[in-house]
Amino acid sequence: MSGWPAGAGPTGADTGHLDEAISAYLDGELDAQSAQLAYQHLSTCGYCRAELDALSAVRTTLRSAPPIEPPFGFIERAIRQRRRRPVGPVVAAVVGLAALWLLVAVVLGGGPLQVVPPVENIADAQAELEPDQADEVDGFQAGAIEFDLTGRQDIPDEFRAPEAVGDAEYDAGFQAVGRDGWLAVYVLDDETVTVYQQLGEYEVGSLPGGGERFEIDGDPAWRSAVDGRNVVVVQRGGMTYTIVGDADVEDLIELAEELPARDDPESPSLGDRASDAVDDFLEVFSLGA
Amino acid sequence: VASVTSTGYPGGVPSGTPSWEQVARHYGRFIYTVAYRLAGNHDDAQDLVQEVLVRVQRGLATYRPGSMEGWLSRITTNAFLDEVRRRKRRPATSLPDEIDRLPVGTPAADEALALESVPDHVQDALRGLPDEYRVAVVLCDIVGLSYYEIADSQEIPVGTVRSRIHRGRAMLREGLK
Repeated sequence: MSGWPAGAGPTGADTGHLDEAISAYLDGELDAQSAQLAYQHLSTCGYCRAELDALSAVRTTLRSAPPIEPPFGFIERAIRQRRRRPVGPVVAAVVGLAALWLLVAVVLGGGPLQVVPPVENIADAQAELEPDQADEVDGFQAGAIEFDLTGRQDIPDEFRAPEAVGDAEYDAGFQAVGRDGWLAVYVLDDETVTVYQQLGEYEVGSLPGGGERFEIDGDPAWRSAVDGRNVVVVQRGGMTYTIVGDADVEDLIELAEELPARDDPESPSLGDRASDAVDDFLEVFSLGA
Repeated sequence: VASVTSTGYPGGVPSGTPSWEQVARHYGRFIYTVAYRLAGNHDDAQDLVQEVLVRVQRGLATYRPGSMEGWLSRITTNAFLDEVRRRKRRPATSLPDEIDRLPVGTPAADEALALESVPDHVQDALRGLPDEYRVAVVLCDIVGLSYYEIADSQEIPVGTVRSRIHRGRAMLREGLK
């Protein structure tokens, strides 16, 4: 109690000792008056002086700990991985084969692949998905499309979605392989947004009635509301994206602007990675050039 | 503390807003040190650094020139705490240590073994702290942030920072003897 007015010290506590103020004193984080009071207290209180010495030793030890060296080459490897964003071996096989199938379909079909954006299926499925359960979900079934949730939860690197959310931090999300495309579900605050990506082009006739045709950065797009959810479909660089969310439609359009074209090397989409996987597949089996 | 932030990479600190690759190269050791001190082992530190690089790549456009270390510390601690929360929600069945899963005699196994074999009483002591205390102590004593900067990065009151740092250090006394 010596020298420290009860209840008036930096901690506001009544122990008669400096308590938490000792660390703040050591760190120079007390204001001038409190620091002066602490100094006076320390000159008369053996208990607080002993505490100060002990905590000072801890602080010194921590502050003199050397930097930790990453394993040799780790940073460069991490950079290369982020550049390529490779898929895991199992997913590479699944995605690779799916992409190969799509590639063959495009080549043999003699024209761009036609896809049907599963707008209503995804809107229905999302309506049943509570935002706070999105990262706990054990299955995601959109009508007849059952998704293989190979990559749900917080989207590990190998499942990183197209840069669909721009700079936004999402709270949770997962990605899944569907019948003819790839699905990513994000939860941003209380809003849930689903992006379904198909390799191919859509026809307006395959979309539900109503809605409005427009353009996003010159790409053909369509917007509507289905089951109380906003929907944006955009065709970009050989990909068709179906975006469904309970966010404002303007937010979804902004999100759509972020979605990569298939040949955008700076922002490889799953489709790009699928193509890479096909390349790897052909190379491994010496089928390539 | 300053030694953590000097990376020794040639070319000096990138001026203006650097690319994410420049950040990774220049601040890689800094990020790794913070990640290791928070995560407690090299396997988790490496996972954490990967996640941090993802967030850096995604969020660099929002970076405003200032304290890069402060910004990276915020990202690293947030990624760490996100992972802690994720694990609490979905406790994983305990996996054997990465070292055990690597084939003996491979370069990767040797490297992992060498890393884990370095005695580090600081790390051992930090590992015993509650996550929130560890974050506060690491940001203060390893990174060198002020209480205000820590409060800002963690979005908690300065009084809470002060309390966590003090209690964290008090708990470390025994471990560091």
